[in-house]
Amino acid sequence: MTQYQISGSTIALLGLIIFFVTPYQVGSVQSGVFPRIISGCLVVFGILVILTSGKKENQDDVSMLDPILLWYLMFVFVAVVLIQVIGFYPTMLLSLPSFLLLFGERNFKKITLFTIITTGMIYLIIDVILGSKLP
Amino acid sequence: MKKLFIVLFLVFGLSSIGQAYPDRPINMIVPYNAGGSLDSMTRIVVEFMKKELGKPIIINNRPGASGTIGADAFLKTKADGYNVLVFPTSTFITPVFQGREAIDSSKFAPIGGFIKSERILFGRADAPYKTFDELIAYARKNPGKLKFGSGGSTDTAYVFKYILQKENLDINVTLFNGGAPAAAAIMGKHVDLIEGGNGSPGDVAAMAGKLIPLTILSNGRLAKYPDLKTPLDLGYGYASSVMFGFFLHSNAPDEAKQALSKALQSALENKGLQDKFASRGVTPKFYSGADLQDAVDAGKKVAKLYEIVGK
Amino acid sequence: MTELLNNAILGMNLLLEWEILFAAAGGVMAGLMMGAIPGMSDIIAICLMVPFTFYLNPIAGIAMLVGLSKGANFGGAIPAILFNIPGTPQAVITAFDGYPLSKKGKAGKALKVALYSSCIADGVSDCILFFFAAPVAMAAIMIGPAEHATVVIFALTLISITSETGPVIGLASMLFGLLLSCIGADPLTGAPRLAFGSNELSAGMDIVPMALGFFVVSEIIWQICKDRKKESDAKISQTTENQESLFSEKESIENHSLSMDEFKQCVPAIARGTFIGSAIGALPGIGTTVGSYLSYVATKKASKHPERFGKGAIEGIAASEAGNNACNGPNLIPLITLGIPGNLAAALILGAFTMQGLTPGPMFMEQQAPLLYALFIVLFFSNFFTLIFGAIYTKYIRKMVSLPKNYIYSAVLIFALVGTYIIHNNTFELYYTLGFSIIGLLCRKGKIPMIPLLIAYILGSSLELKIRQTLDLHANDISVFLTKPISCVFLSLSVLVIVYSVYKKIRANRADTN
Repeated sequence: MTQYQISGSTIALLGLIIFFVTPYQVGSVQSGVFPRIISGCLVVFGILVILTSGKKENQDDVSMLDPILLWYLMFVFVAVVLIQVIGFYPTMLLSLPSFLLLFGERNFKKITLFTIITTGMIYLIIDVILGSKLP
Repeated sequence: MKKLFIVLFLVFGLSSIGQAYPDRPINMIVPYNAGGSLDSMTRIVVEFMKKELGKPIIINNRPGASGTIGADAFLKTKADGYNVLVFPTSTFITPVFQGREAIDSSKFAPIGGFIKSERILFGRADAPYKTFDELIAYARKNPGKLKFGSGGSTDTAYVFKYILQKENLDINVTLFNGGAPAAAAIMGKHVDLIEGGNGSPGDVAAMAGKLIPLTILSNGRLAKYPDLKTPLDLGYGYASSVMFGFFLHSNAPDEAKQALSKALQSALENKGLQDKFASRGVTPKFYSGADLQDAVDAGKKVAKLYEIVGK
Repeated sequence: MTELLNNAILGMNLLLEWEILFAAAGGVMAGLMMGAIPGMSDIIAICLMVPFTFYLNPIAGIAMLVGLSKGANFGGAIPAILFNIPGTPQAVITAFDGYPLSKKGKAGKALKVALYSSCIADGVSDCILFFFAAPVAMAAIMIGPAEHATVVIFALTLISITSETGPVIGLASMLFGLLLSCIGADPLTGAPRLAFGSNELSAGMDIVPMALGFFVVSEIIWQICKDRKKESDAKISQTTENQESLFSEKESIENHSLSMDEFKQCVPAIARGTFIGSAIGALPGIGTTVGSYLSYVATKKASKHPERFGKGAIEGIAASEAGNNACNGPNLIPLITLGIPGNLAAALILGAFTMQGLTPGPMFMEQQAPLLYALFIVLFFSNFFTLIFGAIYTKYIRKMVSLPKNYIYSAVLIFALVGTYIIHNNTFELYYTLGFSIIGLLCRKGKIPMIPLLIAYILGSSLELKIRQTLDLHANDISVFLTKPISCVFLSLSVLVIVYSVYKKIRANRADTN
């Protein structure tokens, strides 16, 4: 299946799901009209995309299952959760080195130095100059 | 000797426990965007309250969902008297018009109000009706022709719809997000009637003669428009009620409630504050906690309109 | 005309305070720096500064904020050109030609083109603002809900049809963006919709998490994976590449400066961008991203060598930067008279007005004319600040590319997370950024164009609001869109655009088969 066909079918599927889920998620019928129209059109266009894509060759690009990509998303997710639990600055101190290691850096001195400087910079800009608090 | 020490210790110790409120900065949650009208008015009031309290009040904007996100965030904070919410009384019932439950006002202790916003119905100066009665007569003769847009107050729109229902009139009703879009729409002849607060862009236009105030739709009268009556005066049983005030948790310490109320009162008496507000066309006054509670209760009555008038 | 001069002179009088110019200059500088940090777009900078303007005199405060937004409009182009990570959403289009050019080692040239186009377009559009403010304000009143809705439909159609990967998928992407914008609150009543029970979601999602997730977070990992693939491909074909720094440093002067001839090449693009940007800015609620994109597309279509675009054509950079900067000035008109902001930055600026006790609305132009004209003059002079600061800044920032990529990526990522939080002081929104970055990755993989999605998402709720208001006011009579003259015009234009592109496609297919 070409990329376009995959995209097209995903779009159409999404449209279909939203179309049927909407009535349960709205407070009144009027609210639901617009989403339903849009999701209906989405289904139509998803199918159109599949039909008009023709036979384009599969460009070999980045694979979605590249492990580093999945690790990356996992790290970001963990960082988001950590921010809510332990706060921004501690999470920054932990995540900056993790990302650097993930991306392939090996020089620990550089990593620690960078982490401290960056966190300090953010603290300076946000807290001192602008007076906003990060949790 | 030991007894002396114990006594001294108790005296000093207790006096430090009885340290006057506030002994640290106070957090205020504003459930609207920084720069909105409520936010800017709150900032002015807070600036003058700082002088009375001796400690700063820090504003925390938590906008969203017509104010409910801010209210929720407030309820999650500690009820130690150091967390305050500024809220328009009409917002307690706003969720009702969205098909949800009203916010439970018993969890909030009203401290005091500082602005009572009256909502006025405006029509264009070049329209064939110049008073409220003329409007009703015109609407009877021309069903479906007139258009009304609210200026940001949903409960006022429902009061208007109720009046339409009572008088059996056919006017098309929609909601605008705020005073400015509503005023622009009426000046551009896209709608014929709008409701706007005292001091809103519509009111500014009325004072310049471009719009005519026809009646008041909330429950208070205005000195600058002495001929306008409220819906209650006119015999319709419902009128909207919008007062901006401060709230603490219902179980916050009494000392905090009293101190804040006093500080609000003195701040509002300050001439500097009155001058700052004068340039916006609104007159702040001190309303006691009891007044604020009345406003809340009055607003709750309007919630019934959702059932009566329908969506 | 005499009234104009009168107001201008009164305005000049108000300007005789150093505080104002200082504030404007400071704003531009701050905006430049914040805009250049991806993750900290102009919106965040303005968000943080709005409370400060409370303490400044009105013109100074607003001049500072507008200066911020001007500076950031250019500032956002810097990382877009250098790293393909835009600092602001409107810089996305600048990256189309900016990044390829800088990969060829000509980063300095690209930055200079961006700087000059931005400043010239901004300056000219400020002049347009100055002279045409009053008539445009009067015209702006004529745009009611119906007209506004059809203008948005037209803009969306135009953007989807002209998308790179084809009109059909462009339209599909646009619809997807509209659907995403439905999540949150019903724009008319505020009732929660598609919120799946979450109170946070019922407030709706903002543009910032989407822009950051789409163009920053997902871009980082995409680039890394692409580089790794290049590495592994290179290993397979047994060639070696130096992966330590981003570009081979060709420090030749020619690569980093702009010759007079090249500049002349860009002039038509700048002119087009200024014109289109000003027009889009003067329309309420459309936005700088649209201005930038339409200007790019127009320049590409008018060019004799359209295939050069996307590979480093300087006219492309000029067009998109001119387009987005030209929106700034005229955007103040609908903001002030209708209270309808063109983009999030303008919405925050609106807040600053209210904070100073100045109520935007139809009477504003009449009653506060001297203040407004003073503001316009300050805006014009701020462009010189942008030019000076921008030139200095870009000279040094260019050296940033020689820093190792991984450090830059990690820092940018953290900035993005911080930036998301700062807007609403709400950590829940970080999940939005994460979600949008996943969608962004899927779009890149599935070749779904991201610009129509982004713009549809921005405009979705206002489109729906206006349509429903119109229907409410006319008793659900849909034909009102055709009976009102202005709205009919825009609707027909949209239809024409679709018909024209279908016609062209059929002709192209026929030419293929011949």
